[in-house]
Amino acid sequence: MDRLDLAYVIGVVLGREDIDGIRVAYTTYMSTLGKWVKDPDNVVQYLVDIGKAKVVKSGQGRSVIFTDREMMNRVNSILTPREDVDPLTLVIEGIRKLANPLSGYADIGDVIKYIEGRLNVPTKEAEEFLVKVIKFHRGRFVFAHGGSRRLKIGSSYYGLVKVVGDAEVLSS
Amino acid sequence: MQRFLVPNRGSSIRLLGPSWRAAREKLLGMVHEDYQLMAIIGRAGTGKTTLLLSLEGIGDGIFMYADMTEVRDRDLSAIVSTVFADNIREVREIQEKLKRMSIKGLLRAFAKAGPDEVVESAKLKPMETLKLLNDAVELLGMAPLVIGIDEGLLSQDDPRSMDFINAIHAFRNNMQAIPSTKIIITLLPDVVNLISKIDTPLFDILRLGAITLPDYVTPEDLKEVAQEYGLGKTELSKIEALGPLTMRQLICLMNTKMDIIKCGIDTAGEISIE
Repeated sequence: MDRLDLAYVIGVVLGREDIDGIRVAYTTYMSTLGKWVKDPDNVVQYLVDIGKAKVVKSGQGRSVIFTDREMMNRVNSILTPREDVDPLTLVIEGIRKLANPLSGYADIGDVIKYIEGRLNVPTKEAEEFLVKVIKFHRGRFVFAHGGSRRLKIGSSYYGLVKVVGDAEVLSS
Repeated sequence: MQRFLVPNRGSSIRLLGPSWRAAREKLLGMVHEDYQLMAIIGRAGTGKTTLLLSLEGIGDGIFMYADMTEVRDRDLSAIVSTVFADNIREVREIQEKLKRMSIKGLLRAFAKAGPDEVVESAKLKPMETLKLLNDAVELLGMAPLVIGIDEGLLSQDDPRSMDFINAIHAFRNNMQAIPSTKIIITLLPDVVNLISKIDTPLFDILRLGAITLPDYVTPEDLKEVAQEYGLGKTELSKIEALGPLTMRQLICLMNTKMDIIKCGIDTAGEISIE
């Protein structure tokens, strides 16, 4: 997290929703930000200069308004605690949602994207998550060739994955 | 030893495991219920070809098996000409029976054609020639004509998969013209995924007549195979500990005295995304 991210995190935590963005009292904001950065004034000025905040008069004092919606959403997602999910349940749920109705197999690339979306993590982290689940619950999955991403197990490469329980019943 | 792991046309096929016999019953049920386009779906080693070959000698009708692995192309022309070429003896028998009847028109010409001419005709006018065979079988009271198209190892990454999908689509579109003909194809899961993405009209028809083979042997299947090969309790426990196995992997273990490496069973803990 860089200084700008920190400035937004504090703004989002202390502020309240306003028409133009998140509004927070200037003095309160400066003293809080000053706990982590040496020059809070410069940080705010920089935010104003790059169009990501503005300082406005508010009654007897001043307020800082944070205007970048994209940054606000990002900070909000950082601050929102992750859903407490069981990794195996999440992966099985993803495979079942994405599986082809005939074969029961899901594309591993799609499963990684699903994990990314559900956990709000970057691709690399989602890949590691999937690998860990497969490692610990190897007997719960079967694999087939194809797909958009390749999973290397020992010396074999696979791109499709299926939940074992779903493979037991002959489907038509 | 390797030949025990590859089903072969002509050798008698015995399906081991109740799951596979159930799949065969289901397939035959669909044939009797007048399904015309059926798919056997399964990952490598699940017994798609074995199941297809187990239909040789079915009581009613005629079964024709086409092994597409030996053919370069996968378009309609290649598929239908392979059906005729691989089953020329059956085709000759049908022609002989036709000759004994007083028939006229195209069927008469079909009955008189030599083997090369028939295969050439199937190449040039695949659907028309197939219709003639369909009509001949109907006329002779030999219906249904069950055609098994074993597409082998065609995967989504193979550029010929599009030709294959187009050919199956052509069968789909012409089912009404060849009502006594039942087409059974084998498909790997990735090709099924591809069809669902690029050819929804075909997928919608295929899903009605699809059989997904078990991806691994169930405890009941394992029990039967163990009995067949006279497997002891210790070996059986070892196999159970290996996790889900395809039928081919299991038969391989039986024939290699439990050589896990040779049978391609990866027990290594190393898993990564490439």
